[in-house]
Amino acid sequence: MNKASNNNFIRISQLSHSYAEAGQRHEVLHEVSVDIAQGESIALLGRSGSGKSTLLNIISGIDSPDTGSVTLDGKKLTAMSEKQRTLFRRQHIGFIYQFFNLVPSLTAAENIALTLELNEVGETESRERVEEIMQTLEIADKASRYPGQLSGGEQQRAAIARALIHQPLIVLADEPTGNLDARTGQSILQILQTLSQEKQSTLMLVTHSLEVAKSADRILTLEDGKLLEQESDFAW
Amino acid sequence: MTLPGKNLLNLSAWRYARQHPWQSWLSFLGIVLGVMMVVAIDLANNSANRAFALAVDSVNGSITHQIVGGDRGVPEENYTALRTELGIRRSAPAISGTVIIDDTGFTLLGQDLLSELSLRRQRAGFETTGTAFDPALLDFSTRQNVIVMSQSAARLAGFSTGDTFRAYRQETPMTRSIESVLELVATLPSSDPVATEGILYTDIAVAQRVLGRSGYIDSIDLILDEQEVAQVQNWLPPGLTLTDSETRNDSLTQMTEAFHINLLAMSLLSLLVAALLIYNTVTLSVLRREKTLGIFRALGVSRQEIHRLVLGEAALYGIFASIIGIGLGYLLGKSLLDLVTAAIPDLNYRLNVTSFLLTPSSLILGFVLGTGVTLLSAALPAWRATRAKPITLQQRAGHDSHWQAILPLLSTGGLLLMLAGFVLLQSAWWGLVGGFIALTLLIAGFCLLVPGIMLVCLQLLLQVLQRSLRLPGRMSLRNIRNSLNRTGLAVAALAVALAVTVGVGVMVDSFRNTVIIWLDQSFQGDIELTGVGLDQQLANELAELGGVSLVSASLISSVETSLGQARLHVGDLPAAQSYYLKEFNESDLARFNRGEGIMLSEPLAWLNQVTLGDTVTLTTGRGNQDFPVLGIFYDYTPSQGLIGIHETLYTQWWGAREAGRLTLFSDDSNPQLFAEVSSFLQGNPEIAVFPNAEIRNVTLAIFDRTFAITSVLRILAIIIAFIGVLSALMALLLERGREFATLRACGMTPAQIMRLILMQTAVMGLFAGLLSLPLGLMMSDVLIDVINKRSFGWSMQHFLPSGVLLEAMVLALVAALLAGIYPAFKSARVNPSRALREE
Repeated sequence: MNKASNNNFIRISQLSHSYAEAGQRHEVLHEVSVDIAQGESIALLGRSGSGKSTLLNIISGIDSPDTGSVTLDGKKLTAMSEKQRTLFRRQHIGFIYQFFNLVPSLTAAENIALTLELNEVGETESRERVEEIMQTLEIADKASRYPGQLSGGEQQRAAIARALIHQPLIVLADEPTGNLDARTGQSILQILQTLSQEKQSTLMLVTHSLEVAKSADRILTLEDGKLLEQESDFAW
Repeated sequence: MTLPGKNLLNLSAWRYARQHPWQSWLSFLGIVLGVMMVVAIDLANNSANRAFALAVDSVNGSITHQIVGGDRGVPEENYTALRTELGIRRSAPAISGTVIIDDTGFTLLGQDLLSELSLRRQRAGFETTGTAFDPALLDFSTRQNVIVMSQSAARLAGFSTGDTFRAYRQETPMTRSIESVLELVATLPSSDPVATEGILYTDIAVAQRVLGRSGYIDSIDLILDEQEVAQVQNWLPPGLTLTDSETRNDSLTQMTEAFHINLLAMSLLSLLVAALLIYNTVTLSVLRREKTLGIFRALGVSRQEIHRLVLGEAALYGIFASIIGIGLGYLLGKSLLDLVTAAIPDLNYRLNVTSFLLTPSSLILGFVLGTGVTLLSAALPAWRATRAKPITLQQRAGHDSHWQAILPLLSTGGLLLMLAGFVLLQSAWWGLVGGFIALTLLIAGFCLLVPGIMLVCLQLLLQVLQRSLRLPGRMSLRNIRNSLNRTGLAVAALAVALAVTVGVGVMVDSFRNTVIIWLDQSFQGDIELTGVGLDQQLANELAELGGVSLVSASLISSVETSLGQARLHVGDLPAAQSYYLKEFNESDLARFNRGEGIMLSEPLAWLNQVTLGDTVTLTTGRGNQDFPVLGIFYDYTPSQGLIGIHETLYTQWWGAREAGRLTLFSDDSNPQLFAEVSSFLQGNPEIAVFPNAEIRNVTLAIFDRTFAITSVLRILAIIIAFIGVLSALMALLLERGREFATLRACGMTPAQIMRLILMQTAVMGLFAGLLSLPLGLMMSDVLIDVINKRSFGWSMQHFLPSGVLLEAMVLALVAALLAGIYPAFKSARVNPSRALREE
């Protein structure tokens, strides 16, 4: 594993976030702080509703925290405007979801090419890169199929390809194997980690699986709104 | 592997549209129909307007002034005097009137060739002033009853040189009499077929004879400079007036304009319904793609890009649908031309419009409105799309509850808009346009209130019927309540369209009933005689016939007044028997009967702001004279206005004159009276006799012809609303695919699913029908009390025809049920396992 030289590539500092429900505010993140190095892989554990997805959404600039800051590669995300955050996400972040979230009206290849198009990559280069990554992920023969015509595993491979094709600095994966059988899930995870290493991307993985978590460089647990570092021999 | 290149966002939108063809086509169709209506009406209006303007220009030509006369016109010797005494050479006598040949009306235009030579007026349809001097026209002077037409007009009428025709003169739109034989001796080349259509040129003496106006002309047409104007003013004999030819046509133009504004406003109402439909479709397409838009946002697509995507889609729809709408509008406009022309007030001369004019402004109007309305309708959903959170798996329920949360705001907005509408109605600001703005505010406000009203009613129904309603019934009501953002819109669209039919229906019915009352009041008597020779001796002889209780004499003429030219009705009956009175003092009626003042028709008084007690100057046979206004009566003849005077006053100021009409009152003792009167007059071909009931029938036929266009517009508005309901319901039900699949999986039969859906659509139809009634009645009130009043000065009684209200309810239910059939069928046949998997 190519370890990073930049130890605070992602710096999360005193991050708090709450949401309103039935007129009451619930704090899901409370003064969360952590530094993550470039190229590191992080597994994020926690119970349902513990704030894992919220943290991912804040790191990607989808959501904004109530207080605290997120700095990515020296750029303070929380100080950016909504538009700046969107452009930053477009260029430097790849997102993978449990339910794949492919655009139903685009084919697998088009879904993958979408990120490149948004980043204004030329047509020829785009085609070459899509072909390459689809071959790597062994879904080249599914290029012209729509998401509805693909199996769960194939859809998630396409989603991984879409998240990685623009070589993002950070890949955020929200339970990427949660909707797949164990064997497919294992295979998907392996692909994801290998490709992230190859592309020098920092991987942050939300999971409920200890097995999955163990394969990461570090394990973080969200509990009562606080982020706790676990030892790699951590056991449930 | 092939990639389509750039614009995957657009590609995604395009594929979405292709995957949901019904939704896309219905939305498309809504815009097409809305634009088609506006373009059709505007094109037909413009064609009719142009024909109207050209008809005026073709008859009058490039003159600057006219000398017009008293009730019978200008005595022709005045023309000779003008030329000999004043030496005004640029002058010519003119006379025109309508003649009927083979049931088609033509304008018979009499002119004097030598005078025209010196006047050298330019007439529309002819490039040179020399046209009038075609050698063929010399036949005018040497042969009897010859006419000339333009080549295009002759071709259109199917006439050829050498043809002879039996022509009847038409004195009023209701009567015709006296036959003449005319011969077409030549046809002339015309530069503009529209201008010369339906005009028969003849010698002035022929026209006088055929039109029964021997010794008189309509006017002396002049081209004068300022000095000559003063000279003529000083010379004018009593009873004659010099008028500016431009201002003379103003009142007619004003009235024609009002008709056209009314028609255009009705077509715009259809566009409003179409706008609701577009809004509904775009909102729905945004809602259905919310997840996709959320994915786009998560991938880094900015809000502006989402905004552009949704608006771009709408613009594309708007542009293509507008283009097709314009094409169809052109075709529809051509077929509506007759109906629109029929709605134009009858003129002094016959207006023939067969040439359809393609005006670029109408096409641009259709395009701008179609695209603009589409973009405006899409603006809110597009903005909403930009708010799509870049977090997926959002729950629809969250949005619906959000929508319900803003209901109070919507309802308040609706109330405020309606309030603004009412306030605007109370003031006379902006006249007719202000009236239409107020109407639009009322409709828009009402639309905003619809979801709130529905929510309250549904909650009440669910509570009241909680125990008695079975599960499918409760589900139907809850489905409507839970999707108010869609069902509310569909119901609002249908309610507005139905309200248009109710509003216009009630207005037309009220108008028709008022006209019937007016006919009963104004045209009493049983048998009418018109023509020449209706003198006192004849009246006495007719009074001797068995069964005749009274013979009344009257005449219709024209008079110059301080309010402009008006028709003059002279009668020998007391005011209460002659007119359907609106405003009067009892004591003044006796004064009127003694010839101490005049009565004004309501439009004339309203348009000129004349009230009881004011004085109006009339040009009498003894010069200008002021008369007090003793009463105002209802009058629904579509013309410049009517002044009523008693025979006593007429004789005093104009002198004795033969009646133009004799009315026989029957005492009902002689059932053969009409036959006896006809046989009594058999040897007198110059007198026409017809039963009074015929006047009533002909008048109502004219009325129905005038309002025929509104029926077409009503039907089109209903079609658009039907499409709106179909689209909304389909969208709603397709969204609930998973729910229906679950119900199917739980054991509900396809028939039960169909019943559930149809029950839901029926309830929505019922809502639309019920809500259309107050809105429709409100619209009819505005149309009756504001729009018609401001347009034409007509006030009318309010009638509430139960048929129109029932029709709206039936239409609502039928439209909703029909719209529900396909979605119900489709939802019932859905494969549960597949639907659940796809979700």
